[in-house]
Amino acid sequence: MSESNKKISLISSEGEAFEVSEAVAREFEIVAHMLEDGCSGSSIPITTVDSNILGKVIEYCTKHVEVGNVEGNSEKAEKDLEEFDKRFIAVEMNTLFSLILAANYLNVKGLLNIGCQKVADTIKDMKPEEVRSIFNIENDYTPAEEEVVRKENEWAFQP
Amino acid sequence: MRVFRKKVSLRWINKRRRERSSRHDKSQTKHIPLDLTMEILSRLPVKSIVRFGCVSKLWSTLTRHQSFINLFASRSSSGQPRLLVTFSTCYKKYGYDPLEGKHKVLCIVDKEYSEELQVLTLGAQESWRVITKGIPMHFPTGGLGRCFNGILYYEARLLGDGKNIIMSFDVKSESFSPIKYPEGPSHLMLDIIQGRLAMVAFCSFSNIVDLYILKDEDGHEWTHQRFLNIFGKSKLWLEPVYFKGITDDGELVFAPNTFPEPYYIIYFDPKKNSTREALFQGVKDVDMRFLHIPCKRGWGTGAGEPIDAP
Repeated sequence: MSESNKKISLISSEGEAFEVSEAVAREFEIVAHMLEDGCSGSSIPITTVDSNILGKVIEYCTKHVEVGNVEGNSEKAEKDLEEFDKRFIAVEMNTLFSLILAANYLNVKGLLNIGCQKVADTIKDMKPEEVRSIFNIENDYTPAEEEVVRKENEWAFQP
Repeated sequence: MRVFRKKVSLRWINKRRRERSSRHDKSQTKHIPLDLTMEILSRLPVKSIVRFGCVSKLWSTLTRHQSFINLFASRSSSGQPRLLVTFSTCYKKYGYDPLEGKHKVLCIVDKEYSEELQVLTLGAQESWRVITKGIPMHFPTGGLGRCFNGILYYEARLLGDGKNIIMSFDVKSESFSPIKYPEGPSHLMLDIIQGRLAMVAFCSFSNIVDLYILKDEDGHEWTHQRFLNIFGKSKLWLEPVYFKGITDDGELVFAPNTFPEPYYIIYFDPKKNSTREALFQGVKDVDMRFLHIPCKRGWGTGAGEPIDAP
């Protein structure tokens, strides 16, 4: 089998196999390193990512490899890819966090980038209370302490 | 470059995803590790970052941490314009727009990196506004700054190449424009001489004055004049004198930093290359270091009042 047709199986945390081309698998930097280090078995376990998220990450990488292979009309392709990214990342917060964690683990830089940006854009105008609930953070300020911090930074609370 | 054909079936992936979505939705909010939290927060505008200091003590510490500030700065200089952070220090500069008669305060929040600045227009409805557009990444390097004809000038350093510049801020339009620093001595003091931006270097031991005057704002060209031995043979200055500012008539003012007894203030006119003195009826224990302008009309400095012309 020629290299360009080589298939790699990525195994999710549930043990489910996702068969992808080597080009797509190489978009996962962690996988690319494994392949370069000679761990070129046909299946690679991705034990920390579940099937739902792994499927999404593969979808993202597949699209990006696909567009990267098209020659010419690069401006249009770039726009299409931007549109794709926009739609792709428009998911609820929990999925978004899972995608970021997976992109970080697998080292898919483009996905990590749009994921973090999406979270930032979403929380930008939120109140601290809302951000606490999204990030599941316990408020460790006493009411008096919080009052002081808010007063000190009052300008940041104005619309 | 090797070309690979797409091998994965998207339809198959989507089917798989649908099968699993119900299970996924029940899961708890994921825990985001600190490095990723920093990745996310570093993409926020400074206003949001400051506000989110109230989320928790950890976040407050995190957003003030040097590594976060570095991350934030690197992001701002490399891509979309965003931030500036300085939570501890606020440099305030005061400007006046003579066209609209408005006084404004420019607050540069951050000791080191500034991109998002706040402006306060003094008047009936005072509130801080954050301005974000068209601000070169810079931080002020001290000095008082000067406002003339609606333009505020202050010394600063560009973040990218670390070059010293003079930042000009148009008080009316709230736009910034950096001016090239004159080549030569590094310890220059900024002032206005007869309507033009001037930089002065003075060494009290060698008695040499270097005067740089900006020819035009766009060309960034400076004229340079050097004056030697400006105090002549006078024995008045047993104590070192310092450059204090420039009068409306274009005279450079020199005075000691402390006035232990009646003393003289020296005025030097670079056009005539001449020096005159004024007796200062000493005020005991007044620290004159910060009296930069006992020489401008309309600046009631108090201590600068009792001057007897010779």
